[in-house]
Amino acid sequence: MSVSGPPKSVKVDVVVQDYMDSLLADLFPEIQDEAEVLAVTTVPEVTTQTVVKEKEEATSSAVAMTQPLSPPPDAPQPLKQPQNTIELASTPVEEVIAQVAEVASPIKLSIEAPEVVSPKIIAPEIVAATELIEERAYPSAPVWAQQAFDVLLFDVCGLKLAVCMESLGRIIKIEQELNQLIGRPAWFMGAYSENEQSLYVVDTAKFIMPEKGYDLAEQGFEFIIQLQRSNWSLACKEVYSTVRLLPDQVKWRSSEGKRPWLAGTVIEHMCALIHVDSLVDLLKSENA
Amino acid sequence: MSTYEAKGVADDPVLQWVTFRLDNESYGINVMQVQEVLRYSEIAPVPGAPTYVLGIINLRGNVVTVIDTRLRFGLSQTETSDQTRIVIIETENQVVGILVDSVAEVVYLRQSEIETTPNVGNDETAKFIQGVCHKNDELLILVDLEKMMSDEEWAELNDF
Repeated sequence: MSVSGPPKSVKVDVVVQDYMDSLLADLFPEIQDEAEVLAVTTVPEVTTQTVVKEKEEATSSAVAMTQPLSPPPDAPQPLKQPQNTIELASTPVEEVIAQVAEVASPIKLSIEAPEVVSPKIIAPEIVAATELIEERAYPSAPVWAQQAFDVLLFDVCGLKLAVCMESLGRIIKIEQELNQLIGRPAWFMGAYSENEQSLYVVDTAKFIMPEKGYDLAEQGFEFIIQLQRSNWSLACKEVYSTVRLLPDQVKWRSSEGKRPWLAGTVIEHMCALIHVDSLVDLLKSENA
Repeated sequence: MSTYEAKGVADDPVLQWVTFRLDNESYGINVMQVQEVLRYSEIAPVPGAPTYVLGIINLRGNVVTVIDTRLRFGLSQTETSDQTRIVIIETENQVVGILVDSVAEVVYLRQSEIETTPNVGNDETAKFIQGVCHKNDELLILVDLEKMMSDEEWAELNDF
């Protein structure tokens, strides 16, 4: 594993800077003037509070609904009471029918009861969801990034990328050629066989910045990084060290943009942080 | 054989595949679709034929159309060699020949050993691959011959 940085040239710096700028623009499309920023940032807070308030109201109403129902004042008496027992031997038929009809009503009431009780199950979920929203200190950050987390830095055609260590499978140094599978898109480099398993290799440069015209197959790559425990892996030229990041070191993406694989950018390291789960989902959806 | 073993074999049948090479990759086709393997012989071109048709050969009095497999798979062209073979296959009720770089062996594969491949992209040729399998430390790409051509193309071949 190499620990040296990539050779810097003016051209690469300019291209990478442009790309980082475009990533930031994608992350924060709303940064155009301060008035717009204020408008955009205040609306979600109001919405969140409104949602929480609505959920609290829903919770209280749901809890209220779980209170035991008191029978209406004009409701018939329960079956167990002695005066409702039927004395068949000495009672005329008309009276027996009247008594049976009278007795049937309380039974009907007891059947309807479970429907009223059902909101008991829903109520804890609403409370839990409300607590989850309140607990997340960095709402834009994924769950795994709410506290300090380790990332691996690697280089793709001069662009530094980072992936969360928890989302990685293996880092494999390429020792044999890839198998070519016909009819695949340009970013699909082929299959790498490792321990009787096929890892499908993505040309990271072509996939995440196709507009730049880079080609890892031509420029060479030495490592592939397995994403989670999936069959997908990213090709890269160099792998750097791991660094520990705090959530507030990352400019988290604020909205769904055209790059779902992008979790955010780390200005301190001038790198883009990859959202591995979204990237794998994206590759799988291309697969569908 | 125990009941459990018999059930296992029924659930996971063993299939035989004829392997051949094209552009340094190993491919496999179901042995039940292979009639015979011929050494390369002169192929007579057919005027007006589709580009993926190399021409026709005379196989014991029968005319057999030979398909340019490299072209069909989107691979670069190469010269024929002593290893070049014409594999005569029967599919879609037609007998055709496919030109390959070389033919290697027949391998036995369990159904469960076959992995599906990512179906990425919109290229029609991606559908030719039925799956992949690791055999003898290399990746074997299994070809679905019936998808190698559309129904219209198979019908077109009938006209030769």
